Amino acid sequence: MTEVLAFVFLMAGLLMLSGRIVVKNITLLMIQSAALSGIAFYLGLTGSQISWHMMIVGGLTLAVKVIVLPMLLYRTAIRVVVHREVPLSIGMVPSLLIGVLLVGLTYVYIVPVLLIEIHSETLLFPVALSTVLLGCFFMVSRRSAFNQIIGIIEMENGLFLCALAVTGGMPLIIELGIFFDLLVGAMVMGIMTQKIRGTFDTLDTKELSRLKG
Amino acid sequence: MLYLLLLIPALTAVACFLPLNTRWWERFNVVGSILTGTAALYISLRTLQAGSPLWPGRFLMVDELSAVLVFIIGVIGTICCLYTVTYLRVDRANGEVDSRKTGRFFGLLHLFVGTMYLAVLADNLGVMWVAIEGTTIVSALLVGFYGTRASLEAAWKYIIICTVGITFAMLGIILTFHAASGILGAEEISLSWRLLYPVASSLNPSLMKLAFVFVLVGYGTKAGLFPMHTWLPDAHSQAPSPVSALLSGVLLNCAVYAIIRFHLLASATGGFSGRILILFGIMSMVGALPFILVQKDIKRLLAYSSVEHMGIIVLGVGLGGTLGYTGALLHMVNHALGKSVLFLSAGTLTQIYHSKLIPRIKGIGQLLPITSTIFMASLLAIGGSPPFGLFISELNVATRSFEAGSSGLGFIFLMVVAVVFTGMIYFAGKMYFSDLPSRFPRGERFSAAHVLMLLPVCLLVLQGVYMPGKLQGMLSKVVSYMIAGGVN
Repeated sequence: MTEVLAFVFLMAGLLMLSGRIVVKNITLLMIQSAALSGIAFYLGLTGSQISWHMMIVGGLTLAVKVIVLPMLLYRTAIRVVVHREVPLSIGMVPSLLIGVLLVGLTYVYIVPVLLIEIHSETLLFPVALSTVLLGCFFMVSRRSAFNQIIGIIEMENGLFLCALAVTGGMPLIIELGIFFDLLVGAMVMGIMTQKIRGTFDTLDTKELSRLKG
Repeated sequence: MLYLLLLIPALTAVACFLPLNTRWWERFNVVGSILTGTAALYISLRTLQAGSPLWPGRFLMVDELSAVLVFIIGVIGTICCLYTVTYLRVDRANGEVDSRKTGRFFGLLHLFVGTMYLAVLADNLGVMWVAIEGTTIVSALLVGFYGTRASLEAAWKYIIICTVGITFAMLGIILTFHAASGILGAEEISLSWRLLYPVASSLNPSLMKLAFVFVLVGYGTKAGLFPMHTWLPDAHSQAPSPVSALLSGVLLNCAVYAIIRFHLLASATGGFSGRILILFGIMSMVGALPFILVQKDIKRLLAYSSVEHMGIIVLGVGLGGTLGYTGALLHMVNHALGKSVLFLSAGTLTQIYHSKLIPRIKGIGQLLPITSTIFMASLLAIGGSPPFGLFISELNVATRSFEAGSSGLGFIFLMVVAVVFTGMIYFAGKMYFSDLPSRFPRGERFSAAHVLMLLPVCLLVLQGVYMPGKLQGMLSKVVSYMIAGGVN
């Protein structure tokens, strides 16, 4: 079961690289977060006893990342995104290829060679790590401030799965803190995209490169 | 007691967000910042005197090392908050800030200070991470406060680069947790500094190496270490000057503090973390050099000088030993004092000249005799000339780099410091020893803002000329605490 969910999680990350329509990307992000919350619920329910820690994490992921954040993003997107399609800094096919390469690199080199010390039996760890990298790459491959927010949330998703895979979940107080930060951060970034849109008339990051030296 | 330090800024912020008028907001700001500053000084001095953690709590703690940081935030934070009152008055008169927005500015400022207190008081790696990310979010709003194209660009770069960077720090924390949970058990307590330090030597060394690299990349972004510094000059130059002073004087130190904490943890199992800190330190110093020499914007000049000084601090920490740690700690305090005064006085200059470009700021000595004298004094201090405290701390680090590193390292260190000094003095000379364009009225009156700026300069001189025995005792307590690896 976790394998299926992890597969959905990873594929959502990869497919995000193949689309340039903002709304589609938000939907994919939502699917990815849903898979994450599914994994947390599944791990919480299938243990020898029900782990309330995992249930809370799963519930919070569901509430924050599947419902609240995508809604916020949709509403901001309607207001700020000028064209439905965002400008790319790397073409669609090459960026998808690089995405696949990153995943391959994680599976073949990073996890078994570089991070050999981390003993994690599950498949989740390489999936999580490649999602962090994919999120990072997603941010550079799009020339849109709005997509950078999506990329950051994708990275956070990967990070969360990483914590689940390596340590069986961080202490609850920390996870609550991360959720709070993410929510406030995304809201602030949303406000800032609106301001940028108002001042620059575009969200193209090419325009955001005046300060130098 | 420690919760008081978080509560006062939070309450002040709430009071400043209330829909009142400017006069009330200013009152709230003054009262709130003085109260916070008093509490911070009391806590830090008590702890430094006692030499052991007081007020142990579940999530917050203050030990010798964090007491130093609390002192820095207390002094600089209060001065910057108080200075903001006059700064915003001038901005309002110039029509750059809407008077309805001043309340929000004060509120965000206090929230910013509050999150920094949380970052240095947190006894938990995760809470500290959350707090540092919180500082990014709050201060990004302050950086973009003017809402101009340049300030929005700077704020956006700042929030994006630092958020991505800090994600990697979280990876490092996850690895540390993984290493520690085998020893301490998987309770949230196993992420507490107090419990981690005694068992630091039994943590898996290769895991800690990896964790340290991730953490250094993450918090190093926030501290403005060289290859990750790109957000720093933009944010520092575009932010309102009191915010630049806080960013440079306090926020960078908070990130360096996080790195020091992890270094103490990782260095128990090998010298790897020290070597990598030396590398990043010297890279930051050398990397900032060319940008300082060709700079045209006064605030960017100061920002790059911050990159260089963070390099010096990180280098001192990496070299370690009594001299290295003493130099690094003193330099943290001194740089915070000197650089914040420099940013505040530069803020006054840019407000009057309506420009940040050095060629446009001419004849400051004739126009503003008092402010420009403070500006020149703090510039000499930051350059590292005696009789200011930075001379002593840089000397400590230099001596240690000859002693522990190689003579090549010490040579590079001294060369960079000398060249940066020349560059800064060249620009300052252009601004000071030149004729004033006739359109400006001359002279200024001595005011409360000058007292605020003189205070840190006096501390710097005091420290450079004569260090009281009591202060030395406190400092040596912190250093021996660090050498012992964070165990009392």
